Amino acid sequence: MEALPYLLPALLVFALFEYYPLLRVIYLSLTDADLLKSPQWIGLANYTRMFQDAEFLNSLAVTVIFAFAVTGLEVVLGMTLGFLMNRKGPFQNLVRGAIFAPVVVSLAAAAVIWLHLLNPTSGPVNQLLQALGLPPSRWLQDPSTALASVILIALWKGVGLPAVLYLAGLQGIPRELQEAAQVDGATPYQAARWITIPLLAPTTLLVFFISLVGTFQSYGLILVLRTDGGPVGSTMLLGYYIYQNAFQYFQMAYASAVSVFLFLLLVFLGWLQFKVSERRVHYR
Amino acid sequence: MGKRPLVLGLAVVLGFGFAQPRTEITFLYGLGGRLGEIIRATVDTFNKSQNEVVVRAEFANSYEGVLQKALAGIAAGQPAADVLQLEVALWPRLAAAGQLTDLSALPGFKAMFDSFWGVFKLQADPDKDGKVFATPWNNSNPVTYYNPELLKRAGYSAPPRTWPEMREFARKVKEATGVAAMALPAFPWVLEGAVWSNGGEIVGKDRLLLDQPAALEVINTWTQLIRDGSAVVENANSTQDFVAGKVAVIFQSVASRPGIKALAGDRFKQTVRVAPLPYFKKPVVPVGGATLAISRGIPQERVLAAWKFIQWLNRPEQQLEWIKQTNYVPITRTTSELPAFRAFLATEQGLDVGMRQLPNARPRPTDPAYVQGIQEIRKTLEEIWLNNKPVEPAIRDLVQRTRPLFAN
Amino acid sequence: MKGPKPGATARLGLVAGTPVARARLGSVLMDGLTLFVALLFLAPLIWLALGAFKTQSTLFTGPLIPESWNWRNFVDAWNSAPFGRYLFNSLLVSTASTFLVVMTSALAAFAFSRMSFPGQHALFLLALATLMIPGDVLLIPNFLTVRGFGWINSYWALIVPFAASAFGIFLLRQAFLKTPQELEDAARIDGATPMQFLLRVLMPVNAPALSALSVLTFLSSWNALVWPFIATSRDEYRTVQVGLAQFNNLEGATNVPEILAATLIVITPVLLVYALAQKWFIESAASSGLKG
Repeated sequence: MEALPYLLPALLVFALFEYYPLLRVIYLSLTDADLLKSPQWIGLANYTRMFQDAEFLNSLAVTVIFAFAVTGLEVVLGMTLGFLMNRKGPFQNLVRGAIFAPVVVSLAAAAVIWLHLLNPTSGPVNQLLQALGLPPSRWLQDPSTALASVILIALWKGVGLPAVLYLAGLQGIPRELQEAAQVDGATPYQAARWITIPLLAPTTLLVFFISLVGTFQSYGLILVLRTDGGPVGSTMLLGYYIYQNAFQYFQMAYASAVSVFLFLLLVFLGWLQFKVSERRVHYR
Repeated sequence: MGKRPLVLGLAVVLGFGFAQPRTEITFLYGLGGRLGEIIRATVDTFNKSQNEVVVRAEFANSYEGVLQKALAGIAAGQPAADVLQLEVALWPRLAAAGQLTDLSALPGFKAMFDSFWGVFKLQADPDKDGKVFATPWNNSNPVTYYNPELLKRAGYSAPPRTWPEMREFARKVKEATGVAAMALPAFPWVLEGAVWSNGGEIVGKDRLLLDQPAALEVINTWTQLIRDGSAVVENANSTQDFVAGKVAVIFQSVASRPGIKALAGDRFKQTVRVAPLPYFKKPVVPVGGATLAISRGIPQERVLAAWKFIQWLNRPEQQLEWIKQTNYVPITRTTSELPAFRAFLATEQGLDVGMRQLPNARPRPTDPAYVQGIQEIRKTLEEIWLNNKPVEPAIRDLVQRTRPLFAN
Repeated sequence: MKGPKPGATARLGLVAGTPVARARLGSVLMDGLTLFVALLFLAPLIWLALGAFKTQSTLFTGPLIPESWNWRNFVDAWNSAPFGRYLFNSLLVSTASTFLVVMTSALAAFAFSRMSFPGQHALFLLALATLMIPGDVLLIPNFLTVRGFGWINSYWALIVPFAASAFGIFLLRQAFLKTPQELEDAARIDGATPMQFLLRVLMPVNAPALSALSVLTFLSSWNALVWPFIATSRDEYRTVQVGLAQFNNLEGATNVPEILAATLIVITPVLLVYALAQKWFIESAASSGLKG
């Protein structure tokens, strides 16, 4: 097979560090492993437990909201910011650097910053809201706003990536196309709606896929913001639920089962996305 | 720097003459920040203080990180490190699985064990079978930090000693100052002390006992403080808020003191005082923190070297150095009685509170399911305090839904 | 292309109601919006940068601009860990991983985009599936594998497991699919082998996509935290993120200004890489595989 030598390096790495351990995880998920004693086969018990576990179901709901909210906003804001970064003007370089800069800041530093900014008693954000005559919020401290606060922080930290991808996509669209549209009397809105955005479809596919797959698994912010998944489970992302079970509760087998479930869910969502986009995205 | 090869060479030449090669052991710890720096410095001091053992300190990010590495080492059949710093709730599982060395047979163990405060004897050997798998090291108990300036405006010079008196106190402080009188933690550490002080228990044989009258009274009292609007739920910002004068009282570990001091800067003396933890019927406080354990399955030579290191850390002079910097509580009575230690406690208001609480201290519950129980308790208290759920049904539900955890 | 002089703008803007004036006004509004967005993203970072010069007791309660500039935080942060070594390690590991990812991704993407073979679609999906495996539960199996190779406490352990990326394959496949077929035909007529075509034509033509992948890979390698803790225990092989983590402490006494100073130290090299790559990454994206 002619293609084999080209595929081999990547496949070898995947085989060793992704597929093989995944098989082990699948095996562990069918046992009662805690990594301390030799595991006993218990069949699907971990999986049935999962769907009776209110904590898991809550976590799944929280994760779905978080993942789709962040992904949706990363596509919309990423594209908007991409337009902004693409626009010639005195602040072009500034805005390009500014939007990307949070991406390189470590999570721990991001947490320090935002815990201060969103401090309900004396944080700058609440002070600003009050100065504008708006009601203050308890942000991360209130079960009804905590997840929204995490989403806000995740966007600040993460939207720079899609924005830069969109910017690169926009740079690739021949200017003549857009100018031709304007000559034809199209408003900038119409040009974007009917020409630019459809031409950006491959970027959108990429951003949507990467963002969705990433947000479903992410929990780094929960760890550094020290919400412990709360208050009242409102920020209990599945990734954190897995982490807790594996490394605080000695429940490696159960953590493995949840991981396998999450994997299958993402495979399904990925498949769905490709089915939908196959008809819409054209490369040539 | 330039001198080092020479010194080293000299040591080797001299060393060949009459000394054994030093035994190298590894020490996996999970504390960063200032504490991490102190730990590294302490290990350095140990390495320089003798020439039999060299300890290499390895940082594992957090207590969970220590456990991650320990589990990986167990899976590999080769311990992650010789000495492990294990959070008090984590070591019983590792010990039960036969992954830790029984320290009770090691030379000098009895003398060390006998010098422990009672609470640490109980923490080290909860089932009193004579086997000990982890010795206390960085341990603390919670105390009351208060802002005397804010209290004064409400006519108080110190917070009341008991929880039932707190309601009036909190109302007055809130009225006089406009800021929250106190922050109450949903993480059930302070709660454990309060429930015990009321004659109640947190964990029974096969379930949580928070639905019993003694515990319910505690939760009701706290809930009232919050629903009155005079107390708030402790959160990630509470320490900063306390230092900024936005909350008058917080309940935190004695070891939080250096951090609070650094945040308060020049204002520490006027704005921060320390009092014992409030109680209901009789004072009881929980202890928490981490312990030191020696991995199982390492050569005897390294076990002995590791033990030497642990013994050295427990020497009164060394404990004193450690406590001066970290404000943890002394593990042994010998340390507590040291004149130099007494002198240190007298240098600042409230430094002695942690030690004075030790006679009333209890180890945290050791049921393996409690680690998970803690998160369930926390969630339930948040539901009551932040979502206004009625106390009794919420607690009954908590006890019911955690039953399977504790049944095993 | 430069806009008209400011004077001209003002003059045109005064003639209200004309389409040109409206366009001018719109342009100024857009400039204002751009500046506002930039400041919105920068504001938290400005607090971070200023905080790095403050003392602990003035960080949260003092004025925004420090009253005295406390450079000691940087010195203390630098001295609190072997940061020189950590930076060297991170640079080495991130550069090597990036190079390997670009190579393995380009090779695989070439096969997926410009060849056809049985099971192509399935294999591509199988590669993408690696993005969907939650990482935490892989830590211990991968530790055992790496240990089996004798790689614990070595650069290999930090590089090889990350030497391939499904994201990279995905990104480059998209780029390669859009490169005109004529290029390949021309190369073939000139007698180039497929490998020569890939290395000498396809990759250079898609430089923007490759540089995008490089920046993103470098960044994720630079920010990796959990695995370096598992795979190494000696400072000789530890990375800057391990160094940064050393400032955090869940038991209270955290010197926040020092964390902020250390953060500035650690992100500077990455910002430099971004600035250097940005020209490639964005400016020359005209022939990019990222284009729509």
